[in-house]
Amino acid sequence: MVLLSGPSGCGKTTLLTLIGALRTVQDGSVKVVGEQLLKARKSVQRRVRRQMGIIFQTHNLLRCLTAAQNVQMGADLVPGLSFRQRRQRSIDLLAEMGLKDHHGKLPSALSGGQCQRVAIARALAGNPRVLLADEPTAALDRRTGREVVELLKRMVTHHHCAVLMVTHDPRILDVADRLLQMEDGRLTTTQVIPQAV
Amino acid sequence: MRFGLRRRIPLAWCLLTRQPGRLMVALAGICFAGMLMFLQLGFRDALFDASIAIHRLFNADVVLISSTSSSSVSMEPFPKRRLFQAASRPEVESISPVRWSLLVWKNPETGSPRAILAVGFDPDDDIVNLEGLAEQKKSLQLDQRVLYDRLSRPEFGPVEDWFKSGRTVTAEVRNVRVQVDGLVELGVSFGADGNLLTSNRTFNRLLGSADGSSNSIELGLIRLAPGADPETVATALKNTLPNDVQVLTKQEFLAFEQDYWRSSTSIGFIFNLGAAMGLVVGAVVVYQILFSDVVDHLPEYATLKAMGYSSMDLVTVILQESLLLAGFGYIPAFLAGKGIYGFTRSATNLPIGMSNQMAVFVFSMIFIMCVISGLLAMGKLRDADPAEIF
Repeated sequence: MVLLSGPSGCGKTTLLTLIGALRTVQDGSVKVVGEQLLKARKSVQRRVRRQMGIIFQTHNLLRCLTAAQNVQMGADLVPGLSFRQRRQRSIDLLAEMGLKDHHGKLPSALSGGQCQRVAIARALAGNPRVLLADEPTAALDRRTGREVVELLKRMVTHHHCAVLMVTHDPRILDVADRLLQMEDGRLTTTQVIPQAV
Repeated sequence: MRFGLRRRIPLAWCLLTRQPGRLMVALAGICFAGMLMFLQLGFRDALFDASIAIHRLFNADVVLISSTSSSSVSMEPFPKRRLFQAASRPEVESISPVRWSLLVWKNPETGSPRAILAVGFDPDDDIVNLEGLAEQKKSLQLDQRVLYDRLSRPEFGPVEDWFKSGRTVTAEVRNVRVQVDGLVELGVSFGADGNLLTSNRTFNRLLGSADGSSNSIELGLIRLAPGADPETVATALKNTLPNDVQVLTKQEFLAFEQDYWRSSTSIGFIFNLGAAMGLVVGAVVVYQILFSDVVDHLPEYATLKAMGYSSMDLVTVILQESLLLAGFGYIPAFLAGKGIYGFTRSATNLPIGMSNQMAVFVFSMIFIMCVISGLLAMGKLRDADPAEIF
Protein backbone atom coordinates (compact mmCIF):
# COMPACT_ATOMS: atom_id res chain seq x y z
CA MET A 1 0.00 0.00 0.00
CA VAL A 2 1.64 3.16 -1.24
CA LEU A 3 0.50 6.61 -0.19
CA LEU A 4 1.33 9.62 -2.30
CA SER A 5 1.05 13.07 -0.75
CA GLY A 6 2.20 16.56 -1.47
CA PRO A 7 0.92 20.11 -1.84
CA SER A 8 -2.02 20.66 -4.11
CA GLY A 9 -1.16 21.27 -7.73
CA CYS A 10 2.05 19.28 -7.59
CA GLY A 11 0.78 16.68 -10.05
CA LYS A 12 -0.37 13.80 -7.85
CA THR A 13 -3.67 13.36 -9.59
CA THR A 14 -2.09 13.76 -13.00
CA LEU A 15 0.31 10.95 -12.16
CA LEU A 16 -2.64 8.84 -11.07
CA THR A 17 -4.55 9.43 -14.30
CA LEU A 18 -1.44 8.59 -16.31
CA ILE A 19 -0.96 5.31 -14.45
CA GLY A 20 -4.64 4.52 -14.77
CA ALA A 21 -4.45 5.02 -18.58
CA LEU A 22 -7.08 7.70 -18.32
CA ARG A 23 -4.88 10.22 -20.10
CA THR A 24 -2.80 9.69 -23.19
CA VAL A 25 0.91 9.75 -22.45
CA GLN A 26 2.48 12.28 -24.88
CA ASP A 27 6.13 11.97 -24.03
CA GLY A 28 8.47 9.87 -21.91
CA SER A 29 7.48 6.43 -20.79
CA VAL A 30 4.85 4.93 -18.52
CA LYS A 31 4.85 1.20 -18.04
CA VAL A 32 2.00 -0.32 -16.09
CA VAL A 33 1.14 -4.00 -15.69
CA GLY A 34 3.55 -4.81 -18.50
CA GLU A 35 2.03 -2.39 -21.04
CA GLN A 36 3.74 0.67 -22.49
CA LEU A 37 1.28 3.55 -22.32
CA LEU A 38 3.25 6.04 -24.42
CA LYS A 39 0.85 7.00 -27.22
CA ALA A 40 -1.07 3.83 -26.49
CA ARG A 41 -4.07 2.87 -28.60
CA LYS A 42 -7.55 2.94 -27.11
CA SER A 43 -7.72 -0.84 -26.94
CA VAL A 44 -4.46 -0.94 -24.94
CA GLN A 45 -5.76 1.77 -22.65
CA ARG A 46 -8.93 -0.23 -22.10
CA ARG A 47 -6.94 -3.39 -21.36
CA VAL A 48 -4.91 -1.53 -18.74
CA ARG A 49 -8.01 0.12 -17.27
CA ARG A 50 -9.56 -3.27 -16.79
CA GLN A 51 -6.63 -4.36 -14.66
CA MET A 52 -6.97 -1.31 -12.46
CA GLY A 53 -9.53 -0.50 -9.86
CA ILE A 54 -10.30 3.14 -9.36
CA ILE A 55 -11.78 4.95 -6.37
CA PHE A 56 -12.62 8.62 -6.58
CA GLN A 57 -13.13 11.42 -4.07
CA THR A 58 -16.82 11.11 -4.65
CA HIS A 59 -18.16 7.60 -5.05
CA ASN A 60 -19.52 8.13 -8.63
CA LEU A 61 -21.90 5.24 -8.28
CA LEU A 62 -24.67 4.96 -10.89
CA ARG A 63 -27.68 6.42 -9.13
CA CYS A 64 -30.11 4.20 -10.96
CA LEU A 65 -28.44 0.94 -9.94
CA THR A 66 -28.57 -0.83 -6.58
CA ALA A 67 -25.38 -1.34 -4.58
CA ALA A 68 -25.03 -4.90 -5.87
CA GLN A 69 -25.69 -3.85 -9.47
CA ASN A 70 -23.08 -1.11 -9.17
CA VAL A 71 -20.52 -3.63 -7.95
CA GLN A 72 -21.52 -5.93 -10.74
CA MET A 73 -20.76 -3.23 -13.29
CA GLY A 74 -17.17 -3.89 -12.19
CA ALA A 75 -17.58 -7.66 -12.10
CA ASP A 76 -19.15 -7.65 -15.58
CA LEU A 77 -15.75 -6.82 -17.01
CA VAL A 78 -14.26 -10.08 -15.77
CA PRO A 79 -14.23 -12.62 -18.58
CA GLY A 80 -15.35 -16.17 -18.09
CA LEU A 81 -17.87 -15.82 -15.29
CA SER A 82 -21.58 -16.44 -15.72
CA PHE A 83 -24.08 -13.74 -14.82
CA ARG A 84 -25.03 -15.66 -11.69
CA GLN A 85 -21.39 -16.04 -10.63
CA ARG A 86 -20.73 -12.35 -11.18
CA ARG A 87 -23.81 -11.48 -9.20
CA GLN A 88 -22.78 -13.76 -6.36
CA ARG A 89 -19.28 -12.29 -6.40
CA SER A 90 -20.76 -8.79 -6.10
CA ILE A 91 -22.91 -9.75 -3.15
CA ASP A 92 -19.95 -11.50 -1.46
CA LEU A 93 -17.75 -8.44 -1.93
CA LEU A 94 -20.40 -6.21 -0.39
CA ALA A 95 -20.64 -8.60 2.54
CA GLU A 96 -16.88 -8.39 2.99
CA MET A 97 -17.23 -4.62 2.99
CA GLY A 98 -19.76 -4.94 5.82
CA LEU A 99 -22.75 -4.11 3.61
CA LYS A 100 -24.39 -7.52 3.81
CA ASP A 101 -27.91 -6.17 4.18
CA HIS A 102 -27.60 -3.24 1.86
CA HIS A 103 -27.00 -4.81 -1.54
CA GLY A 104 -30.51 -4.10 -2.79
CA LYS A 105 -30.42 -0.40 -1.90
CA LEU A 106 -29.95 2.51 -4.25
CA PRO A 107 -27.01 4.87 -3.54
CA SER A 108 -29.47 7.54 -2.43
CA ALA A 109 -30.52 5.30 0.45
CA LEU A 110 -26.92 4.80 1.65
CA SER A 111 -24.67 7.08 3.71
CA GLY A 112 -21.51 8.63 2.26
CA GLY A 113 -19.28 6.09 3.97
CA GLN A 114 -21.44 3.21 2.76
CA CYS A 115 -21.35 4.54 -0.79
CA GLN A 116 -17.59 4.79 -0.67
CA ARG A 117 -17.45 1.20 0.53
CA VAL A 118 -19.65 0.16 -2.40
CA ALA A 119 -17.25 2.04 -4.67
CA ILE A 120 -14.32 0.07 -3.21
CA ALA A 121 -16.19 -3.18 -3.72
CA ARG A 122 -16.84 -2.13 -7.32
CA ALA A 123 -13.18 -1.33 -7.86
CA LEU A 124 -12.19 -4.75 -6.49
CA ALA A 125 -14.89 -6.62 -8.40
CA GLY A 126 -12.88 -6.51 -11.62
CA ASN A 127 -9.97 -8.46 -10.04
CA PRO A 128 -7.58 -5.52 -10.38
CA ARG A 129 -3.83 -5.87 -9.96
CA VAL A 130 -3.54 -2.27 -8.84
CA LEU A 131 -6.06 -0.10 -7.06
CA LEU A 132 -5.80 3.63 -7.65
CA ALA A 133 -7.45 5.86 -5.08
CA ASP A 134 -7.72 9.62 -5.27
CA GLU A 135 -8.36 11.07 -1.82
CA PRO A 136 -11.04 8.49 -1.03
CA THR A 137 -11.59 9.99 2.42
CA ALA A 138 -11.84 13.63 1.40
CA ALA A 139 -15.62 13.68 1.37
CA LEU A 140 -15.99 11.71 4.61
CA ASP A 141 -15.74 12.68 8.27
CA ARG A 142 -12.73 11.60 10.28
CA ARG A 143 -14.15 8.48 11.84
CA THR A 144 -15.83 7.19 8.67
CA GLY A 145 -12.73 8.00 6.64
CA ARG A 146 -10.62 6.00 9.03
CA GLU A 147 -12.98 3.05 8.86
CA VAL A 148 -13.06 3.11 5.08
CA VAL A 149 -9.27 3.18 4.82
CA GLU A 150 -8.81 0.35 7.29
CA LEU A 151 -11.39 -1.70 5.45
CA LEU A 152 -9.61 -0.93 2.20
CA LYS A 153 -6.32 -2.08 3.68
CA ARG A 154 -7.85 -5.35 4.88
CA MET A 155 -9.52 -5.98 1.56
CA VAL A 156 -6.46 -5.39 -0.63
CA THR A 157 -4.35 -7.61 1.61
CA HIS A 158 -6.95 -10.32 1.28
CA HIS A 159 -7.32 -9.86 -2.48
CA HIS A 160 -3.57 -9.46 -3.15
CA CYS A 161 -3.87 -6.10 -4.79
CA ALA A 162 -1.46 -3.17 -4.70
CA VAL A 163 -2.80 0.27 -3.81
CA LEU A 164 -1.61 3.68 -4.85
CA MET A 165 -3.48 6.27 -2.86
CA VAL A 166 -3.25 10.00 -3.25
CA THR A 167 -4.10 11.73 -0.02
CA HIS A 168 -3.85 15.00 1.85
CA ASP A 169 -5.14 13.43 4.98
CA PRO A 170 -2.34 13.16 7.58
CA ARG A 171 -4.55 11.03 9.83
CA ILE A 172 -4.43 8.02 7.58
CA LEU A 173 -0.74 8.03 6.67
CA ASP A 174 -0.04 5.26 9.19
CA VAL A 175 -1.76 2.60 7.04
CA ALA A 176 0.92 2.96 4.38
CA ASP A 177 3.67 0.48 3.68
CA ARG A 178 5.45 3.15 1.76
CA LEU A 179 5.09 6.94 1.70
CA LEU A 180 5.91 9.08 -1.29
CA GLN A 181 6.20 12.86 -1.23
CA MET A 182 5.73 14.82 -4.38
CA GLU A 183 6.58 18.41 -5.17
CA ASP A 184 6.39 20.27 -8.47
CA GLY A 185 5.89 17.09 -10.44
CA ARG A 186 8.80 15.21 -8.86
CA LEU A 187 8.97 12.61 -6.16
CA THR A 188 11.08 14.05 -3.37
CA THR A 189 11.14 11.56 -0.54
CA THR A 190 10.20 7.95 -0.28
CA GLN A 191 9.84 6.38 3.08
CA VAL A 192 9.36 2.72 3.81
CA ILE A 193 7.37 2.05 6.91
CA PRO A 194 8.60 -1.17 8.48
CA GLN A 195 5.31 -2.54 9.63
CA ALA A 196 1.71 -1.89 8.86
CA VAL A 197 -0.92 -0.98 11.39
CA MET B 1 -16.73 -7.13 -28.95
CA ARG B 2 -15.64 -9.67 -26.42
CA PHE B 3 -18.36 -8.99 -23.91
CA GLY B 4 -21.09 -8.14 -26.34
CA LEU B 5 -23.24 -11.22 -25.93
CA ARG B 6 -22.93 -11.81 -22.23
CA ARG B 7 -25.81 -11.10 -19.96
CA ARG B 8 -25.10 -7.93 -18.07
CA ILE B 9 -26.76 -5.47 -15.77
CA PRO B 10 -29.64 -3.99 -17.83
CA LEU B 11 -28.30 -0.48 -17.45
CA ALA B 12 -30.55 1.12 -20.08
CA TRP B 13 -33.62 -0.38 -18.46
CA CYS B 14 -32.56 0.79 -14.99
CA LEU B 15 -31.75 4.28 -16.27
CA LEU B 16 -35.25 4.63 -17.63
CA THR B 17 -37.33 2.93 -14.97
CA ARG B 18 -35.61 4.47 -11.96
CA GLN B 19 -36.38 7.98 -13.26
CA PRO B 20 -40.12 7.61 -13.67
CA GLY B 21 -40.81 11.32 -14.11
CA ARG B 22 -38.47 11.60 -17.02
CA LEU B 23 -39.71 8.33 -18.49
CA MET B 24 -43.27 9.61 -18.40
CA VAL B 25 -42.34 12.80 -20.24
CA ALA B 26 -40.50 10.82 -22.89
CA LEU B 27 -43.37 8.39 -23.32
CA ALA B 28 -45.87 11.22 -23.48
CA GLY B 29 -43.79 12.83 -26.24
CA ILE B 30 -43.57 9.63 -28.24
CA CYS B 31 -47.21 8.85 -27.66
CA PHE B 32 -48.15 12.31 -28.88
CA ALA B 33 -46.02 11.92 -32.00
CA GLY B 34 -47.53 8.52 -32.70
CA MET B 35 -51.06 9.76 -32.15
CA LEU B 36 -50.55 12.68 -34.47
CA MET B 37 -49.18 10.38 -37.15
CA PHE B 38 -52.05 7.93 -36.76
CA LEU B 39 -54.49 10.81 -36.91
CA GLN B 40 -53.05 12.55 -39.95
CA LEU B 41 -52.19 9.47 -41.98
CA GLY B 42 -55.45 7.83 -40.98
CA PHE B 43 -57.43 10.79 -42.25
CA ARG B 44 -55.39 10.91 -45.42
CA ASP B 45 -55.97 7.23 -46.18
CA ALA B 46 -59.60 7.40 -45.15
CA LEU B 47 -60.27 10.35 -47.40
CA PHE B 48 -58.56 8.70 -50.34
CA ASP B 49 -60.39 5.52 -49.55
CA ALA B 50 -63.74 7.27 -49.26
CA SER B 51 -63.25 8.94 -52.60
CA ILE B 52 -63.67 5.59 -54.30
CA ALA B 53 -66.31 4.09 -52.01
CA ILE B 54 -68.93 4.02 -54.76
CA HIS B 55 -66.45 3.29 -57.52
CA ARG B 56 -65.44 0.14 -55.76
CA LEU B 57 -69.00 -1.12 -55.59
CA PHE B 58 -69.60 -0.91 -59.32
CA ASN B 59 -70.22 -4.24 -60.89
CA ALA B 60 -68.03 -3.78 -63.96
CA ASP B 61 -64.86 -5.05 -65.63
CA VAL B 62 -64.31 -2.17 -68.01
CA VAL B 63 -65.56 1.40 -67.63
CA LEU B 64 -66.14 4.14 -70.21
CA ILE B 65 -65.97 7.79 -69.19
CA SER B 66 -65.79 10.98 -71.19
CA SER B 67 -62.28 11.99 -72.15
CA THR B 68 -62.94 15.37 -70.52
CA SER B 69 -63.93 13.88 -67.15
CA SER B 70 -61.24 14.40 -64.55
CA SER B 71 -62.87 13.12 -61.37
CA SER B 72 -66.14 12.14 -59.76
CA VAL B 73 -66.95 15.81 -59.12
CA SER B 74 -66.53 16.78 -62.73
CA MET B 75 -68.03 13.95 -64.74
CA GLU B 76 -68.81 15.05 -68.26
CA PRO B 77 -71.45 13.42 -70.45
CA PHE B 78 -70.60 11.46 -73.58
CA PRO B 79 -72.81 9.87 -76.26
CA LYS B 80 -74.60 6.76 -75.08
CA ARG B 81 -73.87 5.30 -78.52
CA ARG B 82 -70.24 4.66 -77.52
CA LEU B 83 -71.43 2.12 -74.95
CA PHE B 84 -73.53 0.30 -77.56
CA GLN B 85 -70.55 0.34 -79.91
CA ALA B 86 -68.47 -1.31 -77.19
CA ALA B 87 -71.22 -3.88 -76.63
CA SER B 88 -70.73 -5.18 -80.15
CA ARG B 89 -67.51 -6.87 -79.13
CA PRO B 90 -67.96 -10.61 -78.57
CA GLU B 91 -66.29 -10.60 -75.10
CA VAL B 92 -68.86 -8.16 -73.73
CA GLU B 93 -71.59 -9.89 -71.78
CA SER B 94 -73.68 -6.94 -70.69
CA ILE B 95 -73.60 -3.16 -70.39
CA SER B 96 -75.19 -0.57 -68.11
CA PRO B 97 -75.50 3.13 -68.86
CA VAL B 98 -75.06 5.24 -65.73
CA ARG B 99 -75.75 8.91 -65.09
CA TRP B 100 -73.66 10.72 -62.55
CA SER B 101 -73.74 14.31 -61.40
CA LEU B 102 -73.79 16.62 -58.42
CA LEU B 103 -77.27 18.04 -58.12
CA VAL B 104 -78.74 20.57 -55.71
CA TRP B 105 -80.82 18.96 -53.00
CA LYS B 106 -83.00 21.05 -50.74
CA ASN B 107 -83.08 20.04 -47.10
CA PRO B 108 -86.71 18.90 -46.62
CA GLU B 109 -86.76 20.39 -43.13
CA THR B 110 -85.06 23.76 -43.60
CA GLY B 111 -85.09 24.16 -47.37
CA SER B 112 -81.38 25.00 -47.51
CA PRO B 113 -79.73 23.81 -50.74
CA ARG B 114 -76.67 21.59 -50.91
CA ALA B 115 -75.01 19.58 -53.68
CA ILE B 116 -75.61 15.84 -53.48
CA LEU B 117 -74.14 13.20 -55.73
CA ALA B 118 -76.91 11.65 -57.78
CA VAL B 119 -76.34 8.39 -59.62
CA GLY B 120 -78.89 7.24 -62.17
CA PHE B 121 -79.07 3.69 -63.52
CA ASP B 122 -81.50 1.24 -65.03
CA PRO B 123 -83.29 -0.48 -62.11
CA ASP B 124 -83.21 -3.75 -64.06
CA ASP B 125 -79.41 -3.77 -64.05
CA ASP B 126 -77.21 -4.92 -61.22
CA ILE B 127 -74.76 -2.06 -61.34
CA VAL B 128 -73.74 -1.82 -57.70
CA ASN B 129 -73.02 -4.61 -55.28
CA LEU B 130 -74.80 -3.05 -52.37
CA GLU B 131 -76.59 -4.76 -49.54
CA GLY B 132 -80.34 -4.30 -49.63
CA LEU B 133 -80.30 -2.70 -53.03
CA ALA B 134 -81.80 -5.64 -54.94
CA GLU B 135 -85.11 -5.41 -53.06
CA GLN B 136 -85.30 -1.65 -52.87
CA LYS B 137 -84.38 -0.76 -56.43
CA LYS B 138 -87.68 -2.17 -57.75
CA SER B 139 -89.39 0.89 -56.37
CA LEU B 140 -87.22 3.02 -58.66
CA GLN B 141 -89.27 1.72 -61.56
CA LEU B 142 -91.69 4.43 -60.53
CA ASP B 143 -90.86 7.99 -61.48
CA GLN B 144 -89.55 10.57 -59.07
CA ARG B 145 -88.35 7.95 -56.59
CA VAL B 146 -84.86 7.92 -55.06
CA LEU B 147 -82.86 5.80 -52.63
CA TYR B 148 -81.07 7.96 -50.07
CA ASP B 149 -77.62 7.23 -48.61
CA ARG B 150 -78.20 7.13 -44.87
CA LEU B 151 -74.49 7.97 -44.31
CA SER B 152 -75.00 11.36 -45.99
CA ARG B 153 -74.16 14.41 -43.87
CA PRO B 154 -76.92 15.58 -41.51
CA GLU B 155 -77.05 18.91 -43.37
CA PHE B 156 -79.19 17.21 -46.01
CA GLY B 157 -81.94 16.81 -43.48
CA PRO B 158 -83.30 14.20 -41.07
CA VAL B 159 -84.15 11.90 -43.96
CA GLU B 160 -83.21 8.67 -42.23
CA ASP B 161 -85.14 9.44 -39.04
CA TRP B 162 -88.20 10.53 -40.92
CA PHE B 163 -88.08 7.56 -43.22
CA LYS B 164 -87.65 5.10 -40.38
CA SER B 165 -90.50 6.63 -38.43
CA GLY B 166 -92.74 5.85 -41.38
CA ARG B 167 -93.12 9.35 -42.78
CA THR B 168 -93.18 9.88 -46.51
CA VAL B 169 -90.04 11.86 -47.16
CA THR B 170 -90.06 14.17 -50.16
CA ALA B 171 -87.39 16.67 -51.12
CA GLU B 172 -86.65 18.93 -54.03
CA VAL B 173 -83.77 18.10 -56.33
CA ARG B 174 -83.16 20.78 -58.91
CA ASN B 175 -86.64 22.03 -58.10
CA VAL B 176 -88.21 18.68 -58.97
CA ARG B 177 -89.98 16.94 -56.13
CA VAL B 178 -88.74 13.41 -55.44
CA GLN B 179 -89.75 10.83 -52.88
CA VAL B 180 -87.29 8.82 -50.81
CA ASP B 181 -88.27 5.18 -51.18
CA GLY B 182 -85.45 3.46 -49.37
CA LEU B 183 -82.14 3.80 -47.58
CA VAL B 184 -78.76 2.54 -48.75
CA GLU B 185 -75.32 2.74 -47.22
CA LEU B 186 -72.56 4.24 -49.38
CA GLY B 187 -70.57 6.81 -47.37
CA VAL B 188 -69.33 10.34 -47.88
CA SER B 189 -66.12 11.41 -49.62
CA PHE B 190 -64.20 14.55 -50.58
CA GLY B 191 -66.43 15.23 -53.50
CA ALA B 192 -69.79 14.26 -52.15
CA ASP B 193 -71.32 14.97 -48.77
CA GLY B 194 -74.21 12.73 -49.62
CA ASN B 195 -75.45 10.32 -52.25
CA LEU B 196 -78.69 9.30 -53.81
CA LEU B 197 -79.52 6.56 -56.27
CA THR B 198 -82.28 6.83 -58.79
CA SER B 199 -83.37 5.51 -62.17
CA ASN B 200 -81.98 6.92 -65.40
CA ARG B 201 -85.40 8.14 -66.29
CA THR B 202 -85.88 10.11 -63.09
CA PHE B 203 -82.33 11.42 -63.40
CA ASN B 204 -83.02 12.75 -66.88
CA ARG B 205 -86.22 14.36 -65.65
CA LEU B 206 -84.25 16.10 -62.93
CA LEU B 207 -82.03 17.46 -65.67
CA GLY B 208 -85.05 18.81 -67.52
CA SER B 209 -85.87 16.10 -70.01
CA ALA B 210 -89.66 15.94 -70.22
CA ASP B 211 -89.91 12.28 -71.23
CA GLY B 212 -86.97 11.11 -69.17
CA SER B 213 -84.82 10.11 -72.12
CA SER B 214 -81.34 11.27 -72.98
CA ASN B 215 -78.60 10.35 -75.41
CA SER B 216 -75.87 11.19 -72.92
CA ILE B 217 -74.40 9.25 -70.08
CA GLU B 218 -71.47 9.94 -67.74
CA LEU B 219 -70.45 6.38 -67.09
CA GLY B 220 -70.66 3.22 -69.16
CA LEU B 221 -70.24 -0.02 -67.25
CA ILE B 222 -69.17 -3.07 -69.25
CA ARG B 223 -69.23 -6.60 -67.88
CA LEU B 224 -67.23 -9.24 -69.72
CA ALA B 225 -67.96 -12.88 -70.37
CA PRO B 226 -66.18 -15.25 -67.97
CA GLY B 227 -62.58 -15.80 -69.01
CA ALA B 228 -62.16 -12.56 -70.96
CA ASP B 229 -59.22 -10.41 -69.94
CA PRO B 230 -60.28 -6.83 -69.07
CA GLU B 231 -56.85 -5.44 -70.04
CA THR B 232 -57.03 -6.90 -73.53
CA VAL B 233 -60.60 -5.80 -74.09
CA ALA B 234 -59.86 -2.30 -72.79
CA THR B 235 -56.92 -1.97 -75.19
CA ALA B 236 -59.03 -3.19 -78.08
CA LEU B 237 -61.80 -0.73 -77.21
CA LYS B 238 -59.32 2.12 -76.96
CA ASN B 239 -58.24 1.39 -80.51
CA THR B 240 -61.73 1.17 -81.96
CA LEU B 241 -63.75 3.81 -80.09
CA PRO B 242 -63.49 7.52 -81.01
CA ASN B 243 -61.34 9.54 -78.67
CA ASP B 244 -64.23 11.36 -76.97
CA VAL B 245 -64.20 8.52 -74.39
CA GLN B 246 -61.59 7.03 -72.11
CA VAL B 247 -61.56 3.28 -71.63
CA LEU B 248 -60.48 2.10 -68.19
CA THR B 249 -60.41 -1.23 -66.45
CA LYS B 250 -62.07 -1.17 -63.06
CA GLN B 251 -58.68 -0.95 -61.33
CA GLU B 252 -57.69 1.95 -63.56
CA PHE B 253 -61.02 3.61 -62.81
CA LEU B 254 -60.31 3.45 -59.04
CA ALA B 255 -56.77 4.71 -59.56
CA PHE B 256 -58.06 7.49 -61.83
CA GLU B 257 -60.22 8.86 -59.05
CA GLN B 258 -57.61 8.51 -56.31
CA ASP B 259 -54.89 10.03 -58.46
CA TYR B 260 -57.04 13.08 -58.96
CA TRP B 261 -57.30 13.70 -55.21
CA ARG B 262 -53.70 12.79 -54.67
CA SER B 263 -52.12 14.91 -57.36
CA SER B 264 -54.61 17.66 -58.21
CA THR B 265 -55.25 18.67 -54.61
CA SER B 266 -52.99 19.47 -51.68
CA ILE B 267 -54.82 17.04 -49.40
CA GLY B 268 -52.04 14.47 -49.38
CA PHE B 269 -49.41 17.12 -48.78
CA ILE B 270 -51.27 18.69 -45.88
CA PHE B 271 -51.77 15.43 -44.05
CA ASN B 272 -48.21 14.28 -44.69
CA LEU B 273 -46.99 17.59 -43.33
CA GLY B 274 -49.12 17.12 -40.23
CA ALA B 275 -47.65 13.66 -39.69
CA ALA B 276 -44.12 15.02 -40.22
CA MET B 277 -44.77 17.69 -37.59
CA GLY B 278 -45.69 14.96 -35.12
CA LEU B 279 -42.48 13.17 -35.95
CA VAL B 280 -40.38 16.29 -35.41
CA VAL B 281 -42.03 17.12 -32.08
CA GLY B 282 -41.53 13.55 -30.91
CA ALA B 283 -37.90 13.54 -32.01
CA VAL B 284 -37.21 16.78 -30.13
CA VAL B 285 -38.77 15.43 -26.93
CA VAL B 286 -36.88 12.13 -27.10
CA TYR B 287 -33.63 13.92 -27.94
CA GLN B 288 -34.12 16.32 -25.03
CA ILE B 289 -34.75 13.44 -22.64
CA LEU B 290 -31.79 11.37 -23.79
CA PHE B 291 -29.53 14.41 -23.93
CA SER B 292 -30.27 15.49 -20.37
CA ASP B 293 -29.92 11.87 -19.35
CA VAL B 294 -26.38 11.83 -20.74
CA VAL B 295 -25.52 15.23 -19.23
CA ASP B 296 -26.82 14.24 -15.79
CA HIS B 297 -24.84 11.03 -15.78
CA LEU B 298 -21.65 12.37 -17.33
CA PRO B 299 -19.39 11.66 -14.30
CA GLU B 300 -20.89 8.21 -13.99
CA TYR B 301 -20.35 7.44 -17.64
CA ALA B 302 -16.80 8.74 -17.32
CA THR B 303 -16.34 6.39 -14.36
CA LEU B 304 -17.52 3.48 -16.48
CA LYS B 305 -14.96 4.44 -19.10
CA ALA B 306 -12.28 4.63 -16.41
CA MET B 307 -13.26 1.12 -15.33
CA GLY B 308 -12.57 -0.15 -18.83
CA TYR B 309 -15.92 0.10 -20.60
CA SER B 310 -15.55 1.21 -24.20
CA SER B 311 -17.34 4.10 -25.85
CA MET B 312 -19.24 1.49 -27.84
CA ASP B 313 -20.63 0.05 -24.60
CA LEU B 314 -22.02 3.46 -23.65
CA VAL B 315 -23.36 4.11 -27.13
CA THR B 316 -25.14 0.78 -26.88
CA VAL B 317 -26.75 1.87 -23.62
CA ILE B 318 -28.12 5.05 -25.20
CA LEU B 319 -29.36 3.11 -28.21
CA GLN B 320 -31.06 0.57 -25.98
CA GLU B 321 -32.70 3.42 -24.11
CA SER B 322 -34.06 4.89 -27.32
CA LEU B 323 -35.34 1.52 -28.50
CA LEU B 324 -37.05 0.85 -25.18
CA LEU B 325 -38.65 4.28 -25.41
CA ALA B 326 -39.83 3.54 -28.95
CA GLY B 327 -41.40 0.27 -27.84
CA PHE B 328 -43.11 1.61 -24.75
CA GLY B 329 -44.18 4.86 -26.38
CA TYR B 330 -45.77 3.01 -29.27
CA ILE B 331 -48.19 0.98 -27.19
CA PRO B 332 -50.22 3.93 -25.84
CA ALA B 333 -49.94 5.66 -29.22
CA PHE B 334 -51.41 2.58 -30.89
CA LEU B 335 -54.29 2.39 -28.42
CA ALA B 336 -54.94 6.12 -28.71
CA GLY B 337 -54.87 5.80 -32.49
CA LYS B 338 -57.46 3.03 -32.38
CA GLY B 339 -59.60 5.17 -30.10
CA ILE B 340 -59.36 8.19 -32.39
CA TYR B 341 -60.27 6.05 -35.39
CA GLY B 342 -63.30 4.63 -33.66
CA PHE B 343 -64.43 8.08 -32.58
CA THR B 344 -63.86 9.55 -36.05
CA ARG B 345 -65.72 6.69 -37.69
CA SER B 346 -68.79 7.31 -35.60
CA ALA B 347 -68.59 11.09 -35.94
CA THR B 348 -67.91 11.44 -39.67
CA ASN B 349 -68.84 8.16 -41.36
CA LEU B 350 -65.37 8.14 -42.93
CA PRO B 351 -64.04 4.63 -43.55
CA ILE B 352 -61.13 5.09 -41.13
CA GLY B 353 -59.50 2.20 -39.33
CA MET B 354 -56.25 0.74 -38.04
CA SER B 355 -54.73 -1.24 -40.89
CA ASN B 356 -51.73 -3.48 -40.27
CA GLN B 357 -49.85 -1.44 -42.81
CA MET B 358 -50.54 1.75 -40.87
CA ALA B 359 -49.61 0.14 -37.54
CA VAL B 360 -46.30 -1.06 -38.95
CA PHE B 361 -45.57 2.22 -40.71
CA VAL B 362 -46.12 4.37 -37.64
CA PHE B 363 -44.07 1.96 -35.55
CA SER B 364 -41.14 2.16 -37.96
CA MET B 365 -41.43 5.95 -37.98
CA ILE B 366 -41.31 6.08 -34.17
CA PHE B 367 -38.45 3.59 -34.20
CA ILE B 368 -36.46 5.71 -36.66
CA MET B 369 -37.32 8.85 -34.72
CA CYS B 370 -35.98 7.36 -31.48
CA VAL B 371 -32.82 6.02 -33.08
CA ILE B 372 -32.05 9.39 -34.66
CA SER B 373 -32.67 11.18 -31.37
CA GLY B 374 -30.43 8.65 -29.65
CA LEU B 375 -27.67 9.15 -32.20
CA LEU B 376 -27.86 12.92 -31.76
CA ALA B 377 -27.74 12.65 -27.97
CA MET B 378 -24.66 10.44 -28.21
CA GLY B 379 -22.54 13.35 -29.39
CA LYS B 380 -22.53 14.50 -25.78
CA LEU B 381 -20.99 11.20 -24.67
CA ARG B 382 -17.65 12.34 -26.01
CA ASP B 383 -17.56 14.77 -23.12
CA ALA B 384 -17.40 11.87 -20.69
CA ASP B 385 -13.64 12.09 -20.19
CA PRO B 386 -12.36 9.80 -17.45
CA ALA B 387 -9.39 12.10 -16.82
CA GLU B 388 -11.71 14.94 -15.86
CA ILE B 389 -13.57 13.31 -12.99
CA PHE B 390 -10.85 13.64 -10.37
